[in-house]
Amino acid sequence: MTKRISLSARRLGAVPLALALGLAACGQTDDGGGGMGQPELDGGDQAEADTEAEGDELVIGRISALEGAFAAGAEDGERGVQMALEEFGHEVAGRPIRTIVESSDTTPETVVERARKLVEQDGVDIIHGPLSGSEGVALADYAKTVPHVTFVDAASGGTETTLRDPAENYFRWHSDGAMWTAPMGPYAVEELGYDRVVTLAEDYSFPHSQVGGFLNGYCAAGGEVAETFWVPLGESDYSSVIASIPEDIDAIYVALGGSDAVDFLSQAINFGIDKPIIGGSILVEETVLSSEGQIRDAALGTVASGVVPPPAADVAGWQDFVSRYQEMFPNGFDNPSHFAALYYNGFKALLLALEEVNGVVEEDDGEALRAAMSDLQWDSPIGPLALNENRQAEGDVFIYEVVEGDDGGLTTELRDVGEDIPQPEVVWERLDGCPAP
Amino acid sequence: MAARRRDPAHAGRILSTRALTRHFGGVHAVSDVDLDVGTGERVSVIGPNGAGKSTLFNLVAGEFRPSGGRVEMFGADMTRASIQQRAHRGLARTFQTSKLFTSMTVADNLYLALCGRPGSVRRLRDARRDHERIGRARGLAERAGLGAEFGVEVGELSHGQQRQLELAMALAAQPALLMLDEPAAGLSPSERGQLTTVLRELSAGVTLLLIEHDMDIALVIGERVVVMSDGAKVLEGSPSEIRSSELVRRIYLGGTLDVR
Amino acid sequence: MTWARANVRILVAILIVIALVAFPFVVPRPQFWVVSVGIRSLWLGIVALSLIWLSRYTGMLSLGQMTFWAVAGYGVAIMSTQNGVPYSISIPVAIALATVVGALVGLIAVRTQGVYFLMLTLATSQLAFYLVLNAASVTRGYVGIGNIDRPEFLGLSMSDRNVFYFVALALAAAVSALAWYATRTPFGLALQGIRDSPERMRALGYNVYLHRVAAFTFASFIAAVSGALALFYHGRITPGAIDLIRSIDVLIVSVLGGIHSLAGAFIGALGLTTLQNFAQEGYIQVRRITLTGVVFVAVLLFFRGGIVDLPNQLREYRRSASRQWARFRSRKHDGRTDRPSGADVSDSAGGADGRDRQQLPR
Repeated sequence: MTKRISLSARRLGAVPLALALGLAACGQTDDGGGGMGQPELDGGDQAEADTEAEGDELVIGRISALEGAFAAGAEDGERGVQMALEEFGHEVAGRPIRTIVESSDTTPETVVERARKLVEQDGVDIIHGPLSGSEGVALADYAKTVPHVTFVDAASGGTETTLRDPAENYFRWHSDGAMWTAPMGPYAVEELGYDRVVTLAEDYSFPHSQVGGFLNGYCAAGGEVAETFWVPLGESDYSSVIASIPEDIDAIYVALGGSDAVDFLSQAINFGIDKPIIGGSILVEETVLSSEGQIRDAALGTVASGVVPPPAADVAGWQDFVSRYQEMFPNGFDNPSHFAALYYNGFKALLLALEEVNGVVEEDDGEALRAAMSDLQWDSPIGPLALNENRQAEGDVFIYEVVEGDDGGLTTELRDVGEDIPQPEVVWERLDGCPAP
Repeated sequence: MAARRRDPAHAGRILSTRALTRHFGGVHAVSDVDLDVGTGERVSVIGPNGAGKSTLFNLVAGEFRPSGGRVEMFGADMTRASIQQRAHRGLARTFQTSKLFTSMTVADNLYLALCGRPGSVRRLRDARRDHERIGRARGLAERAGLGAEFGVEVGELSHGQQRQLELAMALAAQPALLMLDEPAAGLSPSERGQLTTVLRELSAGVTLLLIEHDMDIALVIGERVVVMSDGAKVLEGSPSEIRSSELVRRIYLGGTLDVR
Repeated sequence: MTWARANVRILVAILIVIALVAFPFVVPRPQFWVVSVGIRSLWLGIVALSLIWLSRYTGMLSLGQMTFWAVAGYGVAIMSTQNGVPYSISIPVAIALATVVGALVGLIAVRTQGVYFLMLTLATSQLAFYLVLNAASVTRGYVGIGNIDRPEFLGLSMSDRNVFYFVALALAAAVSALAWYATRTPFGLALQGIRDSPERMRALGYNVYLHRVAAFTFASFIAAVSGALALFYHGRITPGAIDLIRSIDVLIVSVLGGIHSLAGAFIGALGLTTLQNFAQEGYIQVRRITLTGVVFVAVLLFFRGGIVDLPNQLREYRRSASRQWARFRSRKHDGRTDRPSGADVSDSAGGADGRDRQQLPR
C-alpha cells in the first residue's frame, strides 16, 4: 500500500544530470551585468568576448551553407577562400589568420544563431558570409546590433540586404540578383531585336529580383511584355505553361535554375517552342550545361547574363584565376563556379583592407578597417570593383551565349559586358508586366 | 403498446434481442437469435468454439453492428447505440483477453472505472484529492483481494490477479447489466473456484450475462442457460435440464473437447 | 529509506532551482550563454514538451508541433508589425488561434494511429511551411517577417536578456507545471487509460475520440506558447524556422532528453543546443546535421531513455557487463556451458498451456 493514484513523478533521477550539464556550461564566473534595450538581446559587454584571439593571431569567423541545397556550391566557395588565403600566405601584416567556419543551412534563423555564437562565444571581430539571399538580409539586420563587428558578404544576392536602411558595418563585394540581369534588358531590345517577350520564372524572391532587373531595363528600352508566368520552385512539368505561350512574341525570358532549368530546357523543343530563349543568371550555368538532360537543342543559342564570365572570356585576370583554380583543385569543378569567384572576391577584398590598416582590428573596434574597405578599389578576376555609399559593389555584368565547345559539349561564349551596373533603387517583388516607371 | 407494458415478463426485462443476426462475408456468425434476460437474472451462454457466443456478446456490447434484428436494453431500442451510450445506461463488460491499463496502478485502473459515466466527476481537478472515489477504489480492490496491490502497476500482477481486477473494474460502476466474456479463461483450478465464489456472491441487484466455455462454471452460476451452436440458439433451460441434455452432449462432443 | 530518498529529491530540486536562477549571473560571456544557450533551450524545450507530453500520456507521436508554433509566431508577427495590434492583444489571440488550429487538426489527426498519425502530423507541418512560403503577400515569403520589437511590461523590457531569460524560465516552469498537473486529473488519467486500452475506456463509458482531440489541442497550446516566445528570441520569423529539419529537431530533442519524461524536453533541448553550437568547432570535422543524426541513432540504439534515464541505463549496462564477466570466468574455470540439457526442457514442457508445448526442444 504505497501510493494512491500514482503517476509519473518517478523520473527525478534525471536532475543530477541536468545540473551537471548546467554547471558544465558555467565554468568560471564573470560580470554578467544586466542588459539594455537594443534590438538584439543585448548585455552591453561585448569587450570581454575578445579574449579568444591570442597574441597576434587574427580570427575571422565564417558562415557558409555547408548543409542543404547549396552544399556543393558552398564547397566550391571554400575553394575560393583557400585561393585568397594562399595568395596572402595565410597572414596579413604579420598576423597569422585563423578562420572558424560555422555551417548554416540557408535559413535566416540559423545564420543569426551562428553569427551570434561567433561574436559572443568565439569573440571574432570579422565575419565572412553568408551564401543565400534571405540569410544575407537577416545577417545585415543582426550586424546593426554589433557595430564593432565587420561583416563581408560571401555570395548572398538579396537586393534588400544593402538597400533598405543598410547596416554601416556590412559590406558586399558582389552585385545582387537584379543587377545580374539588368544589362540583359537593353541588350535584348537593341542588339537582339526582341520587342515583345514573355517571362517564365519560379515564384520566390531570387527570380522575382531577376525578372524585375531584366524588365526594368527592357521596358525602359521600349520592349513589351505579353505575359509573365510564375511557377512554384521545383516544378517539373512545363507542358501547360509552354502551351499557353502566345504566338506573337519574339523571345522567351526564362529565369529558372537548377533542376527546374534542366526540366524546362529538355521539354522546350518537344512541346514546340520555336522562339529564342534568353535567360537569367542560373539558367545556363555550369551545373545545368553539364547535366544529363536532353537540353542541347534548346540550350544552344540561349543568351543569358551573370556576374561570372564564361570560362574562356578575355577578361583581365579571369584566365589567371581559372588556371590557378584548376591547378589548386584538380578535384574541383572543371572551371570555378559562381560561388568560388564570389567567395574569393569578398575574402580577398577583406584581406586587402586588412593589409591597408596593417592588421589593426581590435584596437579601434574595426573603425579603420571599415573605412579602408569603403575606399578600397581593386581589380578582381571579374573586373574592377568598388563600393557605393551603401557599401554595395557596382561591377561588371557579362552577357554570354551558349555554344558548342571544342570537345562537342556545351559551353558559353562572351557576347557583351555591362559595365558598372548600378544598384537598383527598389526591391523587386513579383511583377505581372512592365514595372511602373 | 399498453398491453405490452402491463406484461410483467416484459416489464422486468433488462435485455432482449430479436432476430439478431450478424454475418461476416458469407459466414453467419450469429443468426436469428432471440435472447431475453430479466432484471436480476443470471444467464449463461454456452457453446463450443465458433458457436457465435463472442459475436453475440459483442453485438450486445456494441462492438459490432448487427446485420439484422434488434437489441433492446433498459427499456429502449439500443440497436444503433454507441458503446459509450450503453455504458452510460448501465452496461458493464469484461474482455476475454485482459484489457487493463497495464502501465498504471491498480488504484488508477479502478479510479478510471469509477469515473466512466458522466455526472459528478470534475475532470480537471487533482485526482489525488478525490478522497471519496479513491476510498471507493480501495474498497473495490480489497473486495477483489487486491488490497495489498493497490499501488502496484497492473503489468506486474499475476494473470489471476488481472482477471480479478478486470471483474472489479466492471463492477465498479454498479452496472445494471454485467456481461462477462469467458472470465475463467486461462485460470488455474483454484482460481476458478475463487471466481465461482465471487460470482455467486454478487449482489442480487446485478443482472448477469455470462459467456463461458467452461461448462462447470456456466452451469453453477447461470440460473438459466442458453446453448448456442453454429450461430443459432439451439436450447434454453435450467442448469439441470442442460446437464442432462443429450443434444448438449452431442454438440460438445462433436465440437471441441471440453467436457470434463 | 524512503525518507532519505525524499530528502535527496528535495535537495536536488532546490539545487536545480538555484542553478537556474543563478545561471545568467555566473556564466561567462552571458550574451552567448544566456541567450544562445539558455533562452534557446527554454523555448525549444517547451515545443519538445508538447511532443513528449502527447507521446507519453496519449501514445500519439506527433511531428506536427511546429505547425502550432508557426501559427502563433506568424500570428503575432503579422498582427503586430502589419496591423499595429499591441502585444497585449496579439500574443493571446495568436496563441488562441494556434490552439484552435490544433483542435481542428486534432479532429482529423487523432482518427489515425501509429505511423499514419506520424505521417499526417508531419504533413501538417509541411503544409504550414508551404503555406507561409506561398502566402507571400502577408508572410513575405522566403524573407519572412523581421524587425520584431520585444515586448515591454511593468517597466521591464524583454530586450534585456536577463528579463527575457526569466520570462522564458517562468513560462517554461508554468507550462511544465500545467502539463504535469493535467496528468493527475481524471482527464489526464483517462488519456493514459486510452493509451493503454482504448477498447476498455470505451466500454467504461469514455468518449475516446473527444479525449484524444482535447489532448492534442492542449499540446498545440503548449507548442503555441513556445512559438510566441521564439518569435521574440529570433526577432523574426521565416519559413526556414518551420521547415522539415526543425520538426525533426523537436523529435531529436525529445529522444535525446528522454521521451518518457517531461523533464527530458528541457534537458534534450540543452543537449541539442550545446551540440549544435560546439559540434562544428575545428576539432570535430563533422557537419552539424550529420553529427546530430549520429547522436540520435546512438541514443535510439543504446540509451532509449535519453539523457534523463542515463544513470539507470548505465547501471543496467554495468550489471549486465559484470554478469557476462562472471559467466565468462566460470566458463573458463570449469569449461562447461550453462545450457540446460535437452531432457530438462522436454520434461518441463508438458505443462498446462498449449503455447509451452509448441516450444521446440533445444
